[in-house]
Order: sequence, then structure tokens, then C-alpha cells
Amino acid sequence: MSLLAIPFGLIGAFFFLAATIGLLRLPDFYSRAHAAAKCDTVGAGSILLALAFALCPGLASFQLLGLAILILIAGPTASHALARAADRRGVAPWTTDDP
Amino acid sequence: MNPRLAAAFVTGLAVPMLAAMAALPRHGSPDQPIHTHVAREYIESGPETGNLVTAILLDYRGMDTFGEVVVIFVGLVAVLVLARHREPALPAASPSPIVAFIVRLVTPFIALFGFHVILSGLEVPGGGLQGAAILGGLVILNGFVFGPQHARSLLPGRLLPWLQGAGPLAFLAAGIVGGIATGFALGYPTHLPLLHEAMLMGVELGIGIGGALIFSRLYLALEDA
Repeated sequence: MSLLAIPFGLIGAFFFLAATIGLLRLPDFYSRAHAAAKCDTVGAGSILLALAFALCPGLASFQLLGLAILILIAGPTASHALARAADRRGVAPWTTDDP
Repeated sequence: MNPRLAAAFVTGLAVPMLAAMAALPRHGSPDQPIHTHVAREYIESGPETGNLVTAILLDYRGMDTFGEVVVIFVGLVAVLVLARHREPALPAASPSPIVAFIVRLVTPFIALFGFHVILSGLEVPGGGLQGAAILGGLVILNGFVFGPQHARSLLPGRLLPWLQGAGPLAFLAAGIVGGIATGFALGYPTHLPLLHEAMLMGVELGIGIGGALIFSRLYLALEDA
């Protein structure tokens, strides 16, 4: 079981890297929020799964699984709330027409 | 208040405090009591009350924690005195259905976790103020999503004035009970494990519930101001 931790950890690390680059390089608020959300959900989710596998079997695995579920719920909700608030405030999304 | 009287009062308070500060060993000096014997003594003779952090916060420097709890309570009183109440002009913005659903879904779990943190503070890291921050944050979250009126409806009605002061009141009660049982104010009766546990739980719950209500009302006072 604990060998499964390696691929999930690598997936998590890759998504954290990609999301960080996206956060720094993407052009506007919405796409950056999208990148940040990937960080939270896929990145942190995969790393928590990897840790759960690494500590399996045990109580800590279930606690980490619970934490992963919480992040899976809370992360996208927060991104949605941010994007909605930005849209209501009239933040225009980036288009290909922009320089 | 008479300004001369106020100046005399402040000077009278400041002089003994500054004298005590001057008598303290230099910061970081190895002669400080904490380095010579206090810390070792405390670790060796063991935490009488739960874990070491709880023992130090509630027992060894219980008076200090009592003072901190009173300061937080006084902070709320000051804000409530200064903040003028007015009816909220804007109705709550209609919340996104997704956010509303998720907040409704997680609210009971966050509340449960808050109480867990308060009570498990006796044995593991956690405790009253940490739990209070979680519960207060929960009320504020509900206020952001459903409007301050809804957040206000989550607070207890008639008991609110008493529960806001639950931290100092619980500490005072524990101090009196401990005084009767051991002869020292805020002493914890280690020979009566059940009473001992009940006192600690009472203090943690008092700090937790009182603190949560104080945080919530600070938010509501700012929302109304």
C-alpha cells in the first residue's frame, strides 16, 4: 500500500508546480483563480492521499482522508465564491483580443 | 473623570510596574528563575493537569490566563460601548446557491470540531481559545454568506449577556471552588480527580463559548457600525 504513496505524491508535486507557474504567468484574475484552485484540490488532495497511503493502515489514514474530502469541498467553493464576487464587481475576463 | 486624578492613578500603577520591570533579570540571562529551576521542576514533577501546556496555562500561570480572559471580555465591552448601533441599510446580497449549500453542509461539522478542540485541550494541543476561534469563525462565515441577521439568529438570545462573560465567570467559579478545596485561589484539587477534571472542563468550556460569542459580537458590531 505504501508504494502507492509515490505516484500520488509525484502527481501532487506536479500539480503544485504547474499551478504555481500558472498563478504567476496567467493573464487575468479568473485564469489565476483557476490555477490556484488546482493547487488546492488536485495538488493538496493528491499529497494527502499519498500520505494516507504511506501511513496505511491506521487511524491517521482516515484522518487524512477526511481532510482530503474537506479540502475537496472547501477549495472549489472558495474559488467559485471568488470568481462570482469578481464577476459581480465587473472584473472583465481576458480575451484573445487583449494585447 | 478628573484629569489630575487620572494622572495620579496611572502614575500610581506605573511606578510599581516599572520598578518590578527594573528588578527582573536581564532578558536571556541564565540567572532567570525559568532557567535555574522553574522549568526543570515543572517538567519533572509532571503536569498535574492534562498535558504540559494546559498545566502551565491553567495551573502554573492560571492568574495570568484569568487576566487575559478578562482583557478579551473588556475589549468586547469597549467595542460595544463605542460602536453605534444602526439598522443594516443593505439587505444581505443573495448568496450563491453553491456557497450557501456548502456552508450549510459544513456548519455542523465545524461546530462539532470547535467543541472537540475546546474539550480535547485538556489532553492534546487545542483548548478554549482555539476552539473559540473556530466557533466564532463559523458564525462570521454564516454572517458573510447569509447576512448578519442570520448570524445574529445563531447566537443564544436571553442567555447571551451571561454567556459572553462565560470565560471570566468560569475562571472565577473555578478559583472559588479551588480555593475551598485546596486553600489556594485557582488551586486544583489533585486529590479529587473528578472535581479536578470538571473544573478544567468548565474553564475550557467557559473560555471557548465565551470567546466564540465575543468574536461573533465583535464581527456583528463592526457589521452594524
